[in-house]
Amino acid sequence: MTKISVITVTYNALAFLPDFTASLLATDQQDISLEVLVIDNGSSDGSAEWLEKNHPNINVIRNDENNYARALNLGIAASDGEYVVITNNDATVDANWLQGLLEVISQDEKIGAVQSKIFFTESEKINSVGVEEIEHFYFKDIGFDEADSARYSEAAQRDYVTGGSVMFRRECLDEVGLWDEEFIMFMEDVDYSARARAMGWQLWYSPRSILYHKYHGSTSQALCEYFCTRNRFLFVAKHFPKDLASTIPTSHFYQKGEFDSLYKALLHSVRAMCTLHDTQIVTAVLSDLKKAIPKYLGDVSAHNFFSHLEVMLGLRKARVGIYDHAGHFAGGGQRYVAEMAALMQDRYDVTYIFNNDVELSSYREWFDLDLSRCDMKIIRIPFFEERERYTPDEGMVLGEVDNPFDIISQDTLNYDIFINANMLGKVNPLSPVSIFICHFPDQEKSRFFQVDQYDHLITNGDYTGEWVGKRWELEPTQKIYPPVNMYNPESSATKKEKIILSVSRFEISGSKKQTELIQTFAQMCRDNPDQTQGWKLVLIGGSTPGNTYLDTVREEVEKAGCPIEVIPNAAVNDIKDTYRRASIFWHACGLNETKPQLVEHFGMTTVESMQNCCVPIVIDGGGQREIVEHGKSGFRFSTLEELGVYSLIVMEDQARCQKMAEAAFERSHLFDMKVFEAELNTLLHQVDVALSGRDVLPSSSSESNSP
Amino acid sequence: MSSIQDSKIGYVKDRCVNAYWMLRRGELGTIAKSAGVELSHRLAQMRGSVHHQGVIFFRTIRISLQNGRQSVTALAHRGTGDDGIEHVHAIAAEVVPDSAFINRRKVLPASYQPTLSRMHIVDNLKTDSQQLIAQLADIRETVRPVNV
Repeated sequence: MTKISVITVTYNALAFLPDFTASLLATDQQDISLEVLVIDNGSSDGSAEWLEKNHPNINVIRNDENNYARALNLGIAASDGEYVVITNNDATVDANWLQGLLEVISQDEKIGAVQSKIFFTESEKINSVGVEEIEHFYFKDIGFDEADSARYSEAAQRDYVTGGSVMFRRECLDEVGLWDEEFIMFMEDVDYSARARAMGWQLWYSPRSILYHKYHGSTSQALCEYFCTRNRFLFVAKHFPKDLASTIPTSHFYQKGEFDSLYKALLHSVRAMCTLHDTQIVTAVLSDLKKAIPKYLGDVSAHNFFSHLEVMLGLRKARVGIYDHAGHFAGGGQRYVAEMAALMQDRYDVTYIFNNDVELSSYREWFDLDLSRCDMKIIRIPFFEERERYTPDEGMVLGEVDNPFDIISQDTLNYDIFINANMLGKVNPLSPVSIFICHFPDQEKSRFFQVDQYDHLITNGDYTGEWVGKRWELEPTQKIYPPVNMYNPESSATKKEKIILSVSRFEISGSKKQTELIQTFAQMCRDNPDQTQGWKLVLIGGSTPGNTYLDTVREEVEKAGCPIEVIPNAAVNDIKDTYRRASIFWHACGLNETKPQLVEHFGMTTVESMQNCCVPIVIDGGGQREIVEHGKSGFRFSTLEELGVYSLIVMEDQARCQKMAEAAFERSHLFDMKVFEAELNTLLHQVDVALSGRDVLPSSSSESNSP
Repeated sequence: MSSIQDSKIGYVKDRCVNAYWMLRRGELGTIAKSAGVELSHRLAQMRGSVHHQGVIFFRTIRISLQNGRQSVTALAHRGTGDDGIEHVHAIAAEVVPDSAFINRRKVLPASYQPTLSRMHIVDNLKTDSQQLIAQLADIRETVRPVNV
């Protein structure tokens, strides 16, 4: 008895399985002990279940990855036949299918594999009687779409065999080794044939073994063409590396202008080459590619290709460039990116790029962040220097022929990952991976708009994301809320004082509405003296010297004639302590504003207050809608009258105040440092796989790219 | 990102919470004022939307005129070579503002990509790493574009 293992890989091919299995079981098995293994690549049509139910003798193995080559390896490892037959299952087999293969393979011990004569089911023309190279590493099935004829009636030796129906000698499989899973699907049989022949095995064709194939039964033409084009590079890199550069212009990717696919396929093939070939060969091939790639992919992609290769081969850490044109401000946007840099500086080589003199050590003072492992670079932009504009303003770039920010674009070539940290939409990213961080799309699309060139568009909330869609017609790729960390273990919902607190910069424009808050509090005190007895309003915020708005605020306080305290530029510890003591938090930025950029984009201080068990009563607009659940973890108001009413509700009812404060504290966890880190790690994981990952086919269930 | 449906449900919920508290406090005047503010915001949004559509419209006109100018310039530069074949002089990308052919890294629209990426453990290289590092750094500097 000869033991034969039949292996077939299935993916959503339930429609074909009944006929296939019936024909398989009906094939002549004289003197044959047959085992059948079906490897399921994650079918969602019930293929595996149907087999298990209707053919319990068939060994069904579930592949954890939708990878045809990997499936073959799984099947071969689980089989123990003297001969292993690999076959399509969108097919039926002839009565002599197995005997025909055995006849030929048993003629000579040097024969490692024998393939069948494969017909198309529909037309009865030939699908394959072998595989041959037609030109420059393009392969085709011998006899494809021809009528059967006498020239295919004799067994014959072949250079390559198709995996559509082929019997292997076990010794051949053991010696040649695993199927190369990098191919995923298509041309893995051509690769295996080359490897087998290189080791002295013969490959044959048997005319008596017949299989009828439903062509492209379970794969689309587009998928086939993509993988054949991609895998051609891989095949050449493995077996004929010195020809790699010459395959570029004849590649379908190049001819169809699919340069991103070309770039990626070349990268992966060069990686494969470096794992197989010695230094002399690789050096020679890289020299050829140095001339070829700029010609076919352009200078920028060529530069990125070789830089990208360094990271992909693990030769160095990825380099990150973070550009912040307003890095000299100690603002929320700067903090957001600085937190990212602090988390990234050990994982990558990080360089901060500024346009003006900034000391990274200042960030320790402003944000309590140690960025000592980041490098720093200053690039001055002549266009703004000539106009004595300290902070570049892209709104000033109107009728220029050249983009003043090209000097920054030029620098992006130094990095593997470029992060545009502060919404300058005219910077064209030329690095292999690019990230645009948008705190709010202040400007409409205009000349030199480049945001659509970025791989990742990160927003700080749904409000910003909504306006990115309206103004720029782009969809954010990820939302990462700003990290807020003002937790104080001493803060408690039960140990509060009669303080209403507001924390916002005293903007010269008055956009943070401190005067309106003062007027509201004064009105409350006048109209409700009993309820407001013992309460005071505290206004804390940053201010610059000569701030006329601060003078206005102080005048309002004088006029109000009720307990109000104004504290500009308070120390961090004092702010923390006031959060601990305050019962209620007010925020009114965006009140009566119709321009979306004037509404608070997120509301970091609101979250800070919630982390300290304050009840937030904030404007019903912008990012505040994402933070405060109206009526549950605070209130949101549209008018100052509503602000007054909601404040009195909380002030009058101690139990309600405490309950809301506790709910606010729970809610604040959604915006803390842990969530920020988790979201950032998700983003960085995507970046890492873009730089160093390998290709996988999505499984039939939704594919996740999270770590 | 929250869906449009979530936003609508949230909006209705918030209006109900508002109505509950204002009615409970007898703040009918406040309800009226809030409704007025809401209406005013909606009108401002509609005005903004009309303005935005106008910006898009005029931008489209501008780009069409630019494209037309390019075609005319191309026609004007046509010449005939000695072999009798007409040669069209290519327009340098530098003189065409906002041209899709200005040196970019990203291909838009992206090509057909049936695969995703998954993290990969770096293979053991057969090639000498130090020589590779040196060669790739040298190549990188050689092919680096100047003045993109």
